[in-house]
Amino acid sequence: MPGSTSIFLHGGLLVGGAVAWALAAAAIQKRPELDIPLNVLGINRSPYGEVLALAVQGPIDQSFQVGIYGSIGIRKWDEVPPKNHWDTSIRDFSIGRLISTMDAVSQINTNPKPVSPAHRLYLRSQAEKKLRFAYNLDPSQYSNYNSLHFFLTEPAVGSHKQLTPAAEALAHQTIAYCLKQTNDPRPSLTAAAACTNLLDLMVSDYRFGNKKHTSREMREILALLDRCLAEYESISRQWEAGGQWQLLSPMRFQECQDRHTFILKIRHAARTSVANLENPSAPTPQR
Amino acid sequence: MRLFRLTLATIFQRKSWAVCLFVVGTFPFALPLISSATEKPILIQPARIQTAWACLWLCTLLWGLYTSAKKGESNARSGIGEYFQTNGTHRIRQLFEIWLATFCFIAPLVVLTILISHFGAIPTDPREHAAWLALNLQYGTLFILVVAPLMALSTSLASRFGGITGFSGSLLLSVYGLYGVGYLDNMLKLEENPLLRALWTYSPQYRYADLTQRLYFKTGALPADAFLLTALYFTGILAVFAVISSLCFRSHK
Repeated sequence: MPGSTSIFLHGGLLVGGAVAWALAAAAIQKRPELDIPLNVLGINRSPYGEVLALAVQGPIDQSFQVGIYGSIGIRKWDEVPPKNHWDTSIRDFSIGRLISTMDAVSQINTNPKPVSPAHRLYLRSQAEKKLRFAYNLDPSQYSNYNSLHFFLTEPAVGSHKQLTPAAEALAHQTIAYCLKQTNDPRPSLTAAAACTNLLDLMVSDYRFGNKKHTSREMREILALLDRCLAEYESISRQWEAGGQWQLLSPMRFQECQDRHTFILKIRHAARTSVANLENPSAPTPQR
Repeated sequence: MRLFRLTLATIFQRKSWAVCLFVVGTFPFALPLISSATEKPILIQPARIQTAWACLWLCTLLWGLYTSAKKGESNARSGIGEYFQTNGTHRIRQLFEIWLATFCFIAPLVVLTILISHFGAIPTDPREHAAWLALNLQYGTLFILVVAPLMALSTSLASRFGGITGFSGSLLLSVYGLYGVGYLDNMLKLEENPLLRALWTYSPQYRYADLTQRLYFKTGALPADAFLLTALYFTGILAVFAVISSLCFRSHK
């Protein structure tokens, strides 16, 4: 190919391409419907995300403890699993025991200095990142939502929990997401749990003198809680009619039943608390 | 087209393309069995869509870019490029023939994914069928516009700097364009920085070609003007990368 033709061709492609790239980039960024939130391989809020969220429940509990207490390591050497782990004869040796002993030993904390405030702050921020990651995999997952909520409301200073803006936003975001899932009753339970968390902290704030949330707002959240539980019961009946409860393992089914029973009790307690706040002089109804 | 036929035969002989075909063809039907779709059958189709397109992206970015890099490097190092140059095949034509040979293994994967996504996960309502087909074809077109120049870039970088540089450079660029720009955007929302904002604006934003979420949430096909704008954007990037690749490509050491 003659040299000048090649130069013109290259130059033309380069200039034309760069102009098209720059102009189209500016135009695309003005189209909000083309923008999608970051979601690697679409894992978050997908069926695979839901399974991963279940799988990370165990490690999340560890992250929670690390964030709140600073470490999960056993403090001293003699707090390691009882001496008889070591005083076993050759006959009792097994790979399983060896592995569980090594597992316990690997977590021994031999540093005599307690966790410094700066390190504690760092561990807290790392724990929050992990809890958020687990929450984002599936916002309707009951335990991961509650772990993140309790972490956000754990007081860094002071002795009582407060309804922080982050926890309130998290609860409302979770409720909005869960109420859209009409093919499964379990997200409605998570939404109901979010309502109970909001009520618990609103009432607690009120009792400690922060009257930011009125009893009218608490009544609205109570109504939302009733709606979430009604959704749960309605979809649950559909599942029963369609035989979909049989697709769950017995452990998951029982877990769901236990959570439902627990939230019903919390709802009863919440109604009583709100009624007492509105009418402090009325006698407390007996159970 | 002798170099094209030679490269095609060499890739075919190595048989690693069969792994990609197996992954793209079977995983969309097998992987939903380990998702929450086993508890909620209504989620089988969204899980299938997600798996199909994710497998296509992974196979193309890992196998496709790696094979392009290997062929580019071997063409320069083994003397084949020099041989074809002395026989009248210009180096840019060599680059085109190597690219075409690798692309012949990627194109069927794209077609297979579109077929699985269309027939294996089509909405029940017949009124949505036309839009579903349109969205799948739009996705396939944008995917090819994104991946084709990356493969050429991988080949040309590998011919000059070695296979590892070619593969890792193009792979990092594609991952940055898919996900890195999203992280950068989140950071810029926290705190603005003019330099990073300029970098973000003119980075190749491959995330606009990832239409999986539109399929998954059934938000419908892209409007015609938005699709043409996005296609123009990626065509501009294709032209620039084509020039860079043709300048960078070497037919012999």
